Amino acid sequence: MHVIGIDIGSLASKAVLVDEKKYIISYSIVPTGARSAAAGQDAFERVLKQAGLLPGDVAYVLSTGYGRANVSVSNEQLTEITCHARGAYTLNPEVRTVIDIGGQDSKAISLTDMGDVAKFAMNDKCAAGTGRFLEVMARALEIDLADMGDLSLKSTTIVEVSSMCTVFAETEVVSLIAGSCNKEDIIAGIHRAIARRVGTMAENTGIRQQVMMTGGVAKNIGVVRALEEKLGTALLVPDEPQIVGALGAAIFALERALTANINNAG
Amino acid sequence: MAEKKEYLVNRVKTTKEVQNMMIEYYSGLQTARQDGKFLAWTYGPIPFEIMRAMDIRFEHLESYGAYLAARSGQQRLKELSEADGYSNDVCSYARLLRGVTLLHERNETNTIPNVLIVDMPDFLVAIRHCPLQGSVYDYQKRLLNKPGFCLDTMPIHSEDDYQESIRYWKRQLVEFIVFLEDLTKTKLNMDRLKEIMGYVKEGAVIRKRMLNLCKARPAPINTFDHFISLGPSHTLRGRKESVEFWKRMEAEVEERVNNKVGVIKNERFRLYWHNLPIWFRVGRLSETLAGYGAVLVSASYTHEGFYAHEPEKIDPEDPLTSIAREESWLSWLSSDINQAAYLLQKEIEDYSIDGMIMCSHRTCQFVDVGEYDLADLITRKTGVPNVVIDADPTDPAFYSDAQTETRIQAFMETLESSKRRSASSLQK
Repeated sequence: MHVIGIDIGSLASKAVLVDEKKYIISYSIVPTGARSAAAGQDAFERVLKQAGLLPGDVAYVLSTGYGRANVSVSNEQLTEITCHARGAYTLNPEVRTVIDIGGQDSKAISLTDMGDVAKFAMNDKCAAGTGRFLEVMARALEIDLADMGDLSLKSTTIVEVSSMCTVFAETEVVSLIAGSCNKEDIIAGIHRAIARRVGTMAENTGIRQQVMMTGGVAKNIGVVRALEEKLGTALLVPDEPQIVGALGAAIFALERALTANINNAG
Repeated sequence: MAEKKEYLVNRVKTTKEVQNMMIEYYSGLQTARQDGKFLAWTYGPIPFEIMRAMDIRFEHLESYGAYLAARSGQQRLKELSEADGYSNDVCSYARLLRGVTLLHERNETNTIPNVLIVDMPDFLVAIRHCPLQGSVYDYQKRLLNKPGFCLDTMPIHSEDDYQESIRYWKRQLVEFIVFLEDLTKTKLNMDRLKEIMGYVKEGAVIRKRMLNLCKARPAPINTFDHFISLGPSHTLRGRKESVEFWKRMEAEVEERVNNKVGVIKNERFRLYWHNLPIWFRVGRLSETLAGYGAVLVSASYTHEGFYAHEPEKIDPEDPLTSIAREESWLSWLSSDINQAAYLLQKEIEDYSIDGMIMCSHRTCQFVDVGEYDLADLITRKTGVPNVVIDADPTDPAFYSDAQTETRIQAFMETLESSKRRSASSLQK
């Protein structure tokens, strides 16, 4: 049996195909762009192709993320909060706190011992503390987004970026550059600003060990380190943190498909 | 022909009468001058009864904000106030008020629908219930150069404070009456005030009984219906017509309880709403929750204010004490988190609440401060989970449908899994 979870985020759409033993057979990550429905279909077709399967081979598809309602192949939709929690718990059943920083939102989720959501908090209507915030800052610094993490680790002097409004923070960064601050120090300051914002949100839900970080921003080692420092605890980061929501969706899809099989057999 | 939209919420039909009642009320404000009546602009939980007894017409800032927001009429007024230098972080009600004055100053009253316009006032009345209401009063009084009266409140943390506040309020009410009499050159007719207070009591007692009907399963009425029908217990209270309205509404709700008719089909979750409503999303949120089998059965706003606290103790023969008790009660609620927590816990028990929606209003710091503390406190004590949504009473700029609906759906998923766990532990 094969099932698929699809996570349509604001910047990237992800799909994960698992078998009945919860093994990840294939996954895909594509840019969402302006048409989330097309991105979802694209991610879906890619995982099928990688696995050498056809749509008819898939027992259940469950979608999540902001574009979850626009996935035509989806049998059901759940929120990314529930799916990130389940995805993280599947990867490591000792996880009790998930910090997810995606393209346009960030969230902290507290899990029960059974892996269900106990409590969560999300950013408000603002891009502060999200992947989009980092993108804008990378542009202001004229560097590649992917290089920000490693560069920040070379920081030697503490530089404060106090504003969390994306527009004001960009202005602040521009004036820091003009003030001859090192890029590495500025980037580290940006990461600390994100860590302050998201870390506070995580503290609001309550930090319980183990803590896993998910979402595309978890690929930025600088943000991970800044969050570890802020929270005073090590963070688990999966090999591919961007697909954890889609994995969770796939696990729920598997549960639904297995339940349907039992019901049909009965 | 367009298909008729199917709604999941079976609204209480009587509530639809409120729209015309409010339009009539606002029309009365527009014709105050030609009818030879005084017109007041008021802010805060005003003792309307006294002004009604003196035949003074009054606009109420917060009700007007809700009226505008529910009809998407706030945009132009917001723009005007922001163009005048108001930051959009300032109380959205205050911005709307400034917008109205600018609309008149610039002779632009034709730029929004006539039904949404209120005339300029003869005088102002405010209560320093929230600090900003007092500041708005001070500012508007200076700006408009009109007479005004500002009533004061005191923080309350005990029964002794409460009794002291009642005495304080009675002294202020006497001064307020003198102010109104001097201004209008008319004596207050105490018999008329007692008659009005009688209607206030009758309406409040019926409304309280009706709120209690929501303890039934399935819930016969959604608290969203109560949000949109507050007019008769607020700016329209103390009128025979309002009492008749509550009687009709109660009869309809009672009939539903007797016939076990729910306001939604397949009720699964019973929710509590803390804080002011989001006036521009009442209908949509009601439908969103209904989609998950969730119904609002109680709310701090509807179940604690508007004389919902011990309405049977209103004494029409002693109107000033009755008003002073209500005003002091509102101060107690807003100044003492322990009192708010006690009441919330009681609501959870009385109405069999499964979850709490805590609405954080971004430009209303007065109601926003303490929201998270209260939520955590109650969840720790009762185990009933909560979700916080970010919004504003009247300004859509602080609100995102997608984010709010994701939070609500995630909250429903949490409640669902918690229900499943309870069911499976019962089976073991």
